[in-house]
Amino acid sequence: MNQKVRYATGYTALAITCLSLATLLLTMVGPARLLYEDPPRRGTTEPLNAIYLISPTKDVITVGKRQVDLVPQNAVLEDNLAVTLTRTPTGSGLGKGDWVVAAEEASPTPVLLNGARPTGDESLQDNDVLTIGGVEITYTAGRKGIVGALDWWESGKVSHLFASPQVISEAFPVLLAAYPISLIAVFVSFLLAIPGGLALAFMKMAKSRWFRFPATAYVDFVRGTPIFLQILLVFFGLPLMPPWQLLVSTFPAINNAGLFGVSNSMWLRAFVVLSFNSAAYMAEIFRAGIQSINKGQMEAARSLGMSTAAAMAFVIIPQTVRRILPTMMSEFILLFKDTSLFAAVGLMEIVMRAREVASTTLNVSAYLLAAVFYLVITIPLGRIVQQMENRLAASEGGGTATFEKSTEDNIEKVAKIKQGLAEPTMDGM
Amino acid sequence: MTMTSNGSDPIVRIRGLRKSFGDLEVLKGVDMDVQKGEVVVILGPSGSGKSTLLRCVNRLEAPTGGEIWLEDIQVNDPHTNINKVRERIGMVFQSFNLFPHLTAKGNVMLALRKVLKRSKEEAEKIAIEQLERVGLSDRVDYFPAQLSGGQQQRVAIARALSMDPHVMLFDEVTSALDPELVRGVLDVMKELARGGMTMLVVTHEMGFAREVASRAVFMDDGVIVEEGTPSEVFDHPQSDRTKDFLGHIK
Repeated sequence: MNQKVRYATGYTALAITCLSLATLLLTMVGPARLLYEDPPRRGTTEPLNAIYLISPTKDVITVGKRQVDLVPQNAVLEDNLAVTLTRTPTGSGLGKGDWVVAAEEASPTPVLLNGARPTGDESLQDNDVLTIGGVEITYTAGRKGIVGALDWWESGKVSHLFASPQVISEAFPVLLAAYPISLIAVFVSFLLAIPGGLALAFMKMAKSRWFRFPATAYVDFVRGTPIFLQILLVFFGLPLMPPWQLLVSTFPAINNAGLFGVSNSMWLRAFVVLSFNSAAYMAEIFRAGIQSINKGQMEAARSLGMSTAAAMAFVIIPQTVRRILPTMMSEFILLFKDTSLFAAVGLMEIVMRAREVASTTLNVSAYLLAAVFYLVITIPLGRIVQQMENRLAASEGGGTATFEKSTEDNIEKVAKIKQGLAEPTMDGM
Repeated sequence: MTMTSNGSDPIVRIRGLRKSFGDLEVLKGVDMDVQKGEVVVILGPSGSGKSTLLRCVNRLEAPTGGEIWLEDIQVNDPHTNINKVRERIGMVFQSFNLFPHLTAKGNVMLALRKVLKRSKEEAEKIAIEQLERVGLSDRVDYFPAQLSGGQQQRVAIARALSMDPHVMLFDEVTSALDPELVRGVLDVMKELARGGMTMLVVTHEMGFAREVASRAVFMDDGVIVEEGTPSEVFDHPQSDRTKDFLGHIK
C-alpha cells in the first residue's frame, strides 16, 4: 500500500469517527432534571440564586418513608403530605449531602403539580412545577444535543464529582482571582533566592570554615526538613520573634491588607519562607555549576592577569549560568508547586480557594481546575527547559556538555535532592 | 642570598625552586636563567616536574621554596601583585582553555578590556591583528566549539600574545592535538621564536626543539639533569637518564 492510500484511509477513518461522535453528541437526549432555587443554607439568611440540578440518578428523593425514583415518571405524591426538602446527614464526607424530599402527613402546605393538586397516579410531565414546602421545583425532561450531553455528564456520579462543568465554571473566577497570589509569591521569592543562593554557594566554597560552617548548616537544615514544616515554623514562629514585633510596631501597615486581599504580614512571611527555602537549593545548584566549570578556565583567566573576582564575573559565572539555567527553571517549577502548601496556613492561594469551592459544592472538580492552573505554567516551562538543555548540549559540542538528560530526569533529580535522596552533581542534572 | 637586578640580568631567574604537593616533592631545587629572546625547551619524562616548573613561573602553583624573578619583580614574594606579573607572562595550556562562551575574538578581547582597560574598538583591533598573526583572520567570529583543536590552540596563543607579554610559557601545547593539526601550531611558535620572543616550552616535539630552541633542558625527578644546546643534549647526552629518555621517545 503506498503512502497516499494510507493517508487517505487514515483521514477517512478519522472523519468517520469525528462525524459519528458529532452525530451522537447532537442527537443525544440528556437525563431528566429537577430545577429549583437553592434553599437558604443553614446559618445564612439570604438565599443563593444558583439553580441546583437534581440528578435523578444521583439524588435520592423520598416521599414519606418510601424512596421515589423520579426518572420513570412515577413520582406519585399523595394527598395530605407535607413535603420538605432536606439534605441527608451532612458532614459525613462527599456524596453524603444528597437532597431528600421528605413527606409528612397532614401537610399545611399543599403540594402542587403543575399548579394543581396531584391526583393518585399522575406522573410528572415536562416543565411541571412542584411546590414543595414553599420551594418551587421545575421538572424538565431531558434536553437534546450538546446541552443534553452536558446534562448527562453533569448527572453522572463520577463525571459530576470530578469534572462538573457547572462547578468548574463557578470555580474559575474564584481560582483566577487567587492565581496572581501564587504567581507573585513564587516570582518574588525566586528572584530573592538568587542572590541568597549565590552568597551561600560562595560561603560553602570559601576556604575559611567560619564561612563554610554556617552555610553548610543552613543548607543542610533547609534541605533536610520538609518545606511544609518550614512554612509552619515561619508563619507561626516569626511573629513571636522580638525583631518581627519591633518591625510591626515600627510599620503598623504590615498588618494591613495588601495585594489581592492578602495581608502584608502574610506576604512578607510567604516571601521569607519560600526564598529562604529556595536559596538553599540554589546554593547547591550554583556550587555544583561553578565547580563543574573546568579548573583550566580559572587558570587561563588568572594567567591573563585577571583577578579572581574578574575571572568569576567574566569567565566562570557566564558559563555557569548557561549550564544551570535548565536546573534553575526546574527549581522554579518545584517552587511554584510548593506555593500550594500555603493553603495550610490560610494564605488564600489557588489550592486554598479550590478547597473552599470543593467543600461548599461537595465536589472535587475545583481541584481539577486548580491542577490546570498549575499545568499551564509548568508544562510550557518544562518544554523550554528541555529545549535549552538540547541547545546547550549541542553548543558545548558534546565533549563537556553533560545535559543530554530529559527535563523529567532533571526535575526528578532536583526533587530527589529536595528530599535529600541524591547528591547534587552537575553531570546528573 | 640577596638578588639584585639591572638591565642586563636574565629575564627569568629561578633559584633553588622547590615545590611539594603534600608529602610529594615535585621540584627539588631548580636553578635556571632565561635570557631575553631565548627559547628554552624543557624535556623530561612525565612526573619529572617540568609542567610544575612552568606553572611556578606565573605562580599558578605557589612555590614552597626558592625564588623566582621576572625581570625586577620577585614572583613568589607574597607582597607582589601577581596579576601585574601575569600581565607580562603569556601562558598557553595543553587543553587550550579557551572561554567557550566567547568567540575567538571575544576570547582575545576579554583580558584587553578587563585587565588592560582598553576601549572596545582598540581591543577589537588588537584581537583581529593577533588572530591574523596566527592565521585565523577568517575565524574571528567562530566559537571555540566550531574550531578544530589546532585552531583553538592558535586562538589561545593569540590570546596570550595580545597582552604583549615579555615571556611566553608553552605547556605541552601540541600534546592534545591530532598529528595533522600539530604543524599549524608549531609554525606559529616558530614564527614567534624568530620574532625574538622569550619562550619557555615544555614539549615532546624533538624536531621543533632542534630547529627553534636556543637551549634544551632535561629534567628528571624534580631536578635539572642536563642542559645545553639542542644538539648537545639530543646527540651527545652525558647523563644515563637523558640517554634512556631519548631512547624511549625516538
